[in-house]
Amino acid sequence: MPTAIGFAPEEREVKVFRNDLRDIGVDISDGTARTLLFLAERKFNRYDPYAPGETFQQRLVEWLSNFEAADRKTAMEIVAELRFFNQSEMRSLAAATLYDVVNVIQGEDLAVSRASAASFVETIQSQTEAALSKSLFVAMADDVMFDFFRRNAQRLFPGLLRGNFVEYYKLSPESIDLVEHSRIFLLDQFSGSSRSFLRKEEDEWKGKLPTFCETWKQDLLESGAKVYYAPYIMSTVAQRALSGNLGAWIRPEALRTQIGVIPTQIVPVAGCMSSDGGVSVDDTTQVSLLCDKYYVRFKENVHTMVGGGCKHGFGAAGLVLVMYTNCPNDSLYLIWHGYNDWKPLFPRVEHHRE
Amino acid sequence: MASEIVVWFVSGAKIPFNASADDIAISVAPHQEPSAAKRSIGELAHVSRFVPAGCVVSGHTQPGRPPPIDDLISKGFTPSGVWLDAFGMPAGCLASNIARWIQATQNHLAGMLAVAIRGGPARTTPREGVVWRIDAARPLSRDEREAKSFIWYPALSRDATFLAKCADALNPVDIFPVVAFPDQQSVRSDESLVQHHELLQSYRVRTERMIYIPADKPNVAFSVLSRSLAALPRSSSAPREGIITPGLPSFLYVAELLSAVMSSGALMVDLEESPFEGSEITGLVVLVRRP
Repeated sequence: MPTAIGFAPEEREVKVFRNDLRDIGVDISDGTARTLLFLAERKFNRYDPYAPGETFQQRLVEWLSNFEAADRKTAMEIVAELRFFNQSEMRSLAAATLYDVVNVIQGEDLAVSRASAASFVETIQSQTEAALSKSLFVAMADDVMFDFFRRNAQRLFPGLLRGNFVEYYKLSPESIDLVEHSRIFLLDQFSGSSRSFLRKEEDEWKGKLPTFCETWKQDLLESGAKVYYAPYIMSTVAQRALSGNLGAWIRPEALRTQIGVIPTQIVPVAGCMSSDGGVSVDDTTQVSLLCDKYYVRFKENVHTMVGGGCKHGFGAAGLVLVMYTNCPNDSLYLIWHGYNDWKPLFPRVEHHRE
Repeated sequence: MASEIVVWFVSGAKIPFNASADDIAISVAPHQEPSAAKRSIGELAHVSRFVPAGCVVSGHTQPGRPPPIDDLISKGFTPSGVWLDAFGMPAGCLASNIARWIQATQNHLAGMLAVAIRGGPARTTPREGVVWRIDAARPLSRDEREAKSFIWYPALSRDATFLAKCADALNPVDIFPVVAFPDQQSVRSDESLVQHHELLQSYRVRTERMIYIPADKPNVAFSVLSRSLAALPRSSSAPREGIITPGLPSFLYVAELLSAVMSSGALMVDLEESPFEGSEITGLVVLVRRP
């Protein structure tokens, strides 16, 4: 069907896109096509793992071809729920996280004068800056935009020094020239199930938090610092799971108080996977059934089994979420895996190798 | 000795500092009834002195009306603090009254203006956007419009038809859309982008131009927008003028409005627009002048 002649560029793009989809039996409206193309241009096409010149549109057609024709309409429900975080949004989350830290500090007992507005502003500013300068920011992952976070924080609060920032939580504090500190903020990019952070495995607590406590044991004992977990993005499933796990976790002696959790962006279970407003996964939705049907094409490994498998996303997070750097395995495996000739919509780069 | 102004945002209706004994509360005629304004500020802070004032906008000042805020101060009446409830005030009038307080106190070493902000309706229902010159308390004249190049900061939480009409009227040289982000429970930032798809495409607004600000952190919104407005070039033959079209919620709206006030920018709003009509006080904006 000739479609590429005689239309304005956008019209032509819409026509071609709709035609490509129609070829595989998927009929979408003009408006839906425009919306998808708009979001592709603004967001999806900026997915780092895409090859140069590769586009969301072509990926979508290939991805839909994975499914039997009768299932493609349901697969489009997943596409309608895609939540893509681009670089600007991730930076914005990093910046907002700093203000959440400030709010935590200002919510605690600062010695603030309440005699007048002027003295209030004067003292709360100086007290906040003093408290911040006694805070450590520790990266819990390699993709928390730590350089941006540090530079932004130092621009806003010039009293912050290099010794306020630790590039990775597994670094031994003895090897770093740290400032004196009373608070430690653990920065994470994303917590989809919270199991990477804290989980119980055969009567043993594992994850980043126990590892951090062990590595930083001496520092925690000496400083008595309060610890806060600050993921830029956290799912409602992770929030609930972490709350339960923190309650059950036997805190090491080095940690004097329970850790605080301050997520910046909360994301619910995708609407196509939930029937209770995004609180939990419902395994009877059409998309859940699709996850069941095509699960034979997927391959679990020792790392994904830690989260109970990925049938509904690692840790049953039920997300349809993509970050511009990678697609987390907490998202539905249908969109990111490449096993058994499956063509993913957003191919994932695995952190852990088998 | 020069002084500076610090802007502070307080969430909620609990004031974290005490009012001074010589603070005054004002109402602004014709937008506010003195008795209602007196009662509202009285409930918020213990301010014992109440002074009716008139709006600084010339068309709103009529014979018999009380003097505007700058007259109150320049006539030797120097309260340490002025309290104002934004209830019922059109956005342009609020901005110009705040700007006039700033002008009137510029030779002072101390002073405070506290503005109580109320929640508003879910959406404003504006008809026509007008460029409001905040410092002059009037719409921009035709000559002024032709002498400037506009950089427009529209809140994408606004109605698409309204923003499209504003864009046509303004013909900005560049657009920096303001997107509320992180997402709130019921609103996704992507939806606001899609809603304004035509505007963004037809004006070739680059994705990198988007300014993301958290709806629940007015201090961040104020800081980010003020920094952006301050960076606009103003010394060329066509100086750039920052124009803000704020969006709800009202506490965010006032932060955006205030960034225009503090950077000598302008607003593009419906002149009748008053987004502070709710019964609940959502927060307080405090401007503190200090050496």
